[in-house]
Amino acid sequence: MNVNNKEYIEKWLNGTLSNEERVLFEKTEAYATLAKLSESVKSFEAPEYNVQYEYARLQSKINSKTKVQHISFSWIKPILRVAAILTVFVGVYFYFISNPIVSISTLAAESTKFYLPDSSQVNLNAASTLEYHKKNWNDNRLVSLKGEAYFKVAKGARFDVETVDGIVSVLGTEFNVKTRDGYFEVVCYEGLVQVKNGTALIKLERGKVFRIVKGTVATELNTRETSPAWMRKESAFESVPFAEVLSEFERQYNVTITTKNVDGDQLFTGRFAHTSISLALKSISIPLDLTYVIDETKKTVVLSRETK
Amino acid sequence: MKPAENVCEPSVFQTVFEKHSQELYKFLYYKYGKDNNPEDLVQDAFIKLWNNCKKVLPEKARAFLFTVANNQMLNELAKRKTAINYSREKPKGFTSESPQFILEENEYMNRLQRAIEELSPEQRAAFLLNRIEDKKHKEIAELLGISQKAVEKRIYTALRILKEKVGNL
Repeated sequence: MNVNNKEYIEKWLNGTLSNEERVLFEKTEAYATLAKLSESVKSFEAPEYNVQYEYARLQSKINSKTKVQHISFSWIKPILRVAAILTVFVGVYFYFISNPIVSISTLAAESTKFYLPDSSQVNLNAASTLEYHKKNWNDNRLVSLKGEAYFKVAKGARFDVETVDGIVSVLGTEFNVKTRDGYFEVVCYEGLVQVKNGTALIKLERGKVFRIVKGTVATELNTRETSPAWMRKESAFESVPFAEVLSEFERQYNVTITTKNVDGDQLFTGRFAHTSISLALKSISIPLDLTYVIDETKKTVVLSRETK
Repeated sequence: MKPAENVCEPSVFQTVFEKHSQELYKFLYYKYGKDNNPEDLVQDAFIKLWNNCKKVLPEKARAFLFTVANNQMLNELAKRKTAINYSREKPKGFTSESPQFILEENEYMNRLQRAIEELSPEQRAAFLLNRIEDKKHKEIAELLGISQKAVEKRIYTALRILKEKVGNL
């Protein structure tokens, strides 16, 4: 393609060739190629554009868009702002102010084992509740207990168990606290336990038992066990009023016991298993020469002494 | 059309659409190919026009649309690689076709298609608007907002590249 040709071609492209120029140009060798090329290019024409259809499509888009914008400006933004502020307040509350109380409970015929934040172990016997504050646990090891629990306390600061009958304080030890209606018992299995009952301050060494039954304090009681019997799925008693034995039985089997001619103050020494109710009933009735009638559906037991 | 009217008037907006949408569509199609959804780009450009209708006079609408659509397309292209694909209809006027002729013709068209796809978008748009839509250099210059000389150069360069790549029959 020489310079001369370029001029022609540009004019041809723009459709500004004069008639004589066109005749001349169409005779050139390049023309046939260009004409063919130009003709073939026409087959790459853009597809049909449906103006009506596209306009309708545009209208629906514009309408939906304005709606969406309206909603987002009038509602979503303010709601998000309020939500963000609330989130900050709730976060501040939980971080600085709230000191949630953790509460663990067992129902009748249920026991559980769990760990406190410092990995002190707690076994909670049936129908008992234990509560503690989650915050600053390591500085203030205080739990409140209703019912019966065994503690294996990790070494550290003073550990207090608060009950309606007194406060039990320890330094790294294993002990069992039992607080039921009119019955309070602390057994120390390892280390040293201090019991504060009213104004009295009692220190319990390993193997010692402190017990208050209906206001009567009994010290000088001993145990040879290394952990409470209930953790091995039985209940053991040593010189315990029979009424308390029956209450414990009711808690472990979730039954109601009624008695006839039975002396609740009689002291009982023995044990019953938590796994078989008939075996357990024999364990507590035979030593005292009682008979029992059990109603499985109503969950009731009648204990009576045969009058001879 | 009264001079006080602006594009926010639905009837004016519709007139503008009917007047320019097809032209804009073709420009986008030639420039970027069908895989880049020229129909949707036209829609987006008109939505922008609608949102800015108070600022754009009807006379300026065309320039506004072309600028907006072109900018939008450039943004899109920055995100993904261009895949251009042209539809092709069998050119009319070839009646007595021997198998060899058809084969050669197909070969020629394939080469032409590839060559067109390989042009720069600017060259392609100017060249195809000129060749297919029979637009004069001056019109194309107005559409693209460049000088007539630049349009001339683009079209001529495009033709030279195609001729070199496709060769003779």
